[in-house]
Amino acid sequence: MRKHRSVAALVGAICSIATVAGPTGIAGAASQPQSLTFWVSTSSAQLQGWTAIAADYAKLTGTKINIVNIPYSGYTTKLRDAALAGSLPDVADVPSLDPVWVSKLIDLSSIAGNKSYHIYQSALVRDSAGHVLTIPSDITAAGMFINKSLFEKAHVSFPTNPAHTWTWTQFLAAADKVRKATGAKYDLVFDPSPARLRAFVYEFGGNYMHEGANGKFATTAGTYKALQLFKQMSNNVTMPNSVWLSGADPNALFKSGQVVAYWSGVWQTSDFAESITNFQWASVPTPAQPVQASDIEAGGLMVGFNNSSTEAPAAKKFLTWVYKPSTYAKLSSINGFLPVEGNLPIHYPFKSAAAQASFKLYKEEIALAAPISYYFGTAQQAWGLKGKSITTDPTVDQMDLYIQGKQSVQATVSNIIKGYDQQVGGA
Amino acid sequence: MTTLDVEVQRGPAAGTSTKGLPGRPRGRAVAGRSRLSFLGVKPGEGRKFISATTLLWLLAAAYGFPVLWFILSAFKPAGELFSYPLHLLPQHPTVKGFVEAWHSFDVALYFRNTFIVATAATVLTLVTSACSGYALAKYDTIWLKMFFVGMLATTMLPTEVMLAPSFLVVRDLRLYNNLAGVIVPTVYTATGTLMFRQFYKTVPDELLEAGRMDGGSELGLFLRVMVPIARPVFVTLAIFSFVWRWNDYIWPLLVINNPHWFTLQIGIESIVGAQNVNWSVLLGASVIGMAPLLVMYLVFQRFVMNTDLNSGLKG
Repeated sequence: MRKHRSVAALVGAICSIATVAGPTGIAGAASQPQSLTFWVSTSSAQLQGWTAIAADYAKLTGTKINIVNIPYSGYTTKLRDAALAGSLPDVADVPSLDPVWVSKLIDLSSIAGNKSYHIYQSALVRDSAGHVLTIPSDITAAGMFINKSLFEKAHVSFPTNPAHTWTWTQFLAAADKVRKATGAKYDLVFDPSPARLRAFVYEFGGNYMHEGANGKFATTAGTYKALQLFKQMSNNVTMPNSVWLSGADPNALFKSGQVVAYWSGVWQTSDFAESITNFQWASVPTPAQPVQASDIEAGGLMVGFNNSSTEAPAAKKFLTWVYKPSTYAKLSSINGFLPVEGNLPIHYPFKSAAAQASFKLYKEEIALAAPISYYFGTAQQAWGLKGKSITTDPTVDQMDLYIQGKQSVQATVSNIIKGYDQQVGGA
Repeated sequence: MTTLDVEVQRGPAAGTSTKGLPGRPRGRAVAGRSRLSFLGVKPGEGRKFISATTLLWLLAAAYGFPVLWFILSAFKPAGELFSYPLHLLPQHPTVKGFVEAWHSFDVALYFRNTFIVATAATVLTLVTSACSGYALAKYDTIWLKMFFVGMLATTMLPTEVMLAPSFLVVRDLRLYNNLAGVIVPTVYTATGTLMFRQFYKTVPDELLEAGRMDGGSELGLFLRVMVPIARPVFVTLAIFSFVWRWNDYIWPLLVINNPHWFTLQIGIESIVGAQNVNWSVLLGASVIGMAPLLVMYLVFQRFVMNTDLNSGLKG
């Protein structure tokens, strides 16, 4: 009987520990007016920038910033559930706006409109009342990387100045020449991403899918031309089909040294600086045919939540301080951000000359990018403010059917438009 | 008629020994032989060359090789992970991935939290599963039958569907942002209950009747007779349950807000970024994360290998 009692006692003890263990650490965080909770989903390298400015802020104001690094997968769901539980953070760097909690956001117009901050106005969206509810934490752009060692081995030149870029025709001819001369496997790997496909289409003069004044999506002739070329490139020589059709990792393929070029974006720079050691790589200007464009979006969206009359002003004060040019320059330097503010003295910490050159090139390219490059990033924010979002982008699935010859380019475009109309269309 | 059917009808070829494999259907052995012909094994010699142990070793190698590659890759520098040609052994071994992983999040704290969750959930799962499995097997009431149907219904819904309603229940019970909120919803599992129910179904009712005639109470009979004979089921379910809870990711992420109570899988998953993955750090973190399970398996190996679901009932 003693044995039974001890089992029951053990079970009881476990229940008690589990129940008591939780709340002690939590209640304190939310109830202390001198601390703010900041949610972000980032790498340990980029967490350093946030940690550094949070420490500066605590020293300056006495307000502690509790940074919580949330895994990217599950972040959106977690925010939704936190809104349901009335437990949203005070400040957050979110991947997108969600109708579930967008009504709880603080107006950041005074920060966005501060002339001395030089925040790119093209990256901002206002709601119907003229409020700015979010400001990008940084911006990202699609772009091209090459295996410089292969180009040099094949004695093929490549442009280095975005003002004198090449066309896709010239790029493909050069990549083909390099592949044949060096025995590489493919000319190009292309991220299986709607954003990368959009940038590609923009460069051919297409508008991909644009929402008209009537709330219906439509496209232009340049889109068909680009998508047809994309299918021609998906021939297992120019590009491997495995990336779009069966989930092969384009980043890993490029790092293998067997691929001449990689169509991806600025976020790869810090990864390549660290993990490519078996060949030299370089960022090269995005091709223009004839439009010089990219897909420029927010790396993250900074928001403040109106949790209480004490915390909301404190959250706004912190956000104002984050975008102060001296603070933001420090954050961008440590984190390797492409800044959302102009005129900033940023010194990236990379030892790699290729990484330093890459950031310089991206900054020059953004200055030259056609306005259409910003369309989708800002449109997504606008849809979020209207309570809509693209939960499932039909692009990759529809392109897969097109690549496999199961449907025409017209049907592909029509099906993508249908998906957008259903999810975010309507005036 | 399929090739297999043809082979079964023909029976063993001349010279094929069936010695050492008593009770095995002859046709199946021959079908196995025909499948091995591509390995260069002559007809009729399959049994001699490929014994059951050899096949098991091949199977173990098929499962073990990716794990070996994974562990060795954790010792490769980032630049070596994808470089061509691929190498099994690290050319420049390093523990940098482990060090970075260790500093990416508070590994010791997350270990402690995961251990509390996995242990508490496992103990409570064993208690609830044994009690309910026993009741479902040995008592016959309409309410128990309805309960059984309800329990089976929970197995037909994917976890994702249950997330939102479970979250609302946990919130309303004030278990949100609390380790108890992670543990309590996982305590009752249909799998565990079914395991015990199926086991207790095989226990003769006469055993209980004899106990009752000797004056044993229902609780006493359960604790003194039924629990000890179900030790193999306890061990099996304990291992499964501990592994399930150790690897839980999405539920703890949704329920816990304070990083002080985060579990190991949340820490590991935070290394996977939106656009790219720091593979060398992720590999290091994953090896660190699986180490306790490996240790647990080595410690309890004897019980796992000796698990005989009929123990105590023979004779």
